[in-house]
Amino acid sequence: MLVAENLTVSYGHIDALKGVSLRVERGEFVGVIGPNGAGKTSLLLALSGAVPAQTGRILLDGEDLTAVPQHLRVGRGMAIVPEGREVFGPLSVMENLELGAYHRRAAPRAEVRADLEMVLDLFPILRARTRQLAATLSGGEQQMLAIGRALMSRPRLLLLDEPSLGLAPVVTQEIFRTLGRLHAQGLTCLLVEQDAALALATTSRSYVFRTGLVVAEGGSAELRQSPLVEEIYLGGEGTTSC
Amino acid sequence: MLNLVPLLLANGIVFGAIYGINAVGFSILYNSTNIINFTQGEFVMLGGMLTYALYEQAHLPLWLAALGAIAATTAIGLLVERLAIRPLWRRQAKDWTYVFMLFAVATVLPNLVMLLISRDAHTLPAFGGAATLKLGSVTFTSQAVWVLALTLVIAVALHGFYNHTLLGKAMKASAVNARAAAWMGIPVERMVALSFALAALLGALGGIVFTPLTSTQFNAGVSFTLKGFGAAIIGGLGNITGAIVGGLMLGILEALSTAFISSLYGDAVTYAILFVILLVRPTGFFRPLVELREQEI
Repeated sequence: MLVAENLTVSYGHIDALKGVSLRVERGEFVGVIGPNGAGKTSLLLALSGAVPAQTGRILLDGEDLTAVPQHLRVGRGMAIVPEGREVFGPLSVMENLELGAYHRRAAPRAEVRADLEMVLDLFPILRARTRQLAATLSGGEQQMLAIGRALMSRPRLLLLDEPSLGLAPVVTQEIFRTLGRLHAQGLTCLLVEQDAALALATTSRSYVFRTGLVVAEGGSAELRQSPLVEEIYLGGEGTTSC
Repeated sequence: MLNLVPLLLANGIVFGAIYGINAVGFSILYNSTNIINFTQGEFVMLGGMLTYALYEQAHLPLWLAALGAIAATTAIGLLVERLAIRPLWRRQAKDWTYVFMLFAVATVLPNLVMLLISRDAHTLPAFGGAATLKLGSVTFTSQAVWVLALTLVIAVALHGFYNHTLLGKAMKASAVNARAAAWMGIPVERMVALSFALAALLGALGGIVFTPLTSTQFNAGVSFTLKGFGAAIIGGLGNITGAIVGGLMLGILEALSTAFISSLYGDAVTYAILFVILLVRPTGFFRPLVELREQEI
């Protein structure tokens, strides 16, 4: 479904991605792990069009998205739950969700309405807070809102950037359970996560990033046993989050 | 002198309404771009001067001249965005670059008007003829009623636009977080262009209904910019209702200080009072529609 070939991203003199290739097949739940500064977020920014890729190609279901502007990528079936959630704080929960479906504004109202119900069923706590400003939600609720907002675009591929960041373990568990349910319903997901244990337990296949390069890939279960992963996480370069 | 107060208040309200419409222009642009639009007053001047040109020089009927001036000013607003703002936006210029660029535009526009239309002050006939509306001891001219009605319509329409239309919400979202808005599929650059068009349109409307009350001239824009900006700040920059309330406060202050202190120091007194208000309430009287650029970027 998603093919990224030889992606390079740099910010001025800093090379964040140095030629990364990866694939995500339809229905897969793929992980990207690695320490801070490994280029995980840059990968998602490049895939979603928020930063340009200096070299390489991005293909979604065979269509070349490399030159497609950021605001048109959601219409091609790709939605992102960004790092730090980036919900529209001064707007209400309902407005955030409505804007998630912005690119579908020509779609029948009933269809969007049904998706809204689906999201509010998925995250019942949001239903009680639809009129509240997003900025007043707790971190976990904001994360749910960011996921719900992304789902409102009816993506075929969901990009997730550190959904566990700054959340209490019990909230993280709840969110990952929901992600698992969405995946079981057929949603293809690419998860970037610093918490390697969590990511490897959630995904079926993973890539290990380090300083802008893919240093390992394989089944998540095998990677859990890999000495390399252990070394990266315990070897002093970056720390595992808890 | 005190029996003049109702009349002064009425006058202040009418002028204040114009400042308010103008302040709304500031707030719209601030809401969607974070930019303080220092050409806002020029749009007011263009509204008046272009209507004059089309009415007196091209001999169109007044209503057609007014429509033409609104359309032309809106087009100029779009042009300003396209030629002066978008190139900076694309290269992620700092906020102060926009300010300087807009000052440059605000210098060029009046000079063009002076060269192409007229260097003299001009007025327009009142829209409703000589009819008047009497409220107690105060008589409003038909033009004053036009101004007040227009202000009310603008306030209600914009409130509905920002809170009940997807486009209005998308404009707010673009202002809060342009990157996240683009992820939603919102064409952020088009939102910026649209807000320039909207600000220019409001400016032109304000200029057209204002001109019959006194007169306008190629160099009238600066004062409108200052007063509109002042009104927007008093009201809480970014808040539509606040902008109009701020405008009314400014207009009333101006009318009273001119009458009771001295017309000589009219502006000085007005700004001195503004100064005190801002010391007491640095963020104005209303919360902005959207609290921009919070921790989340």
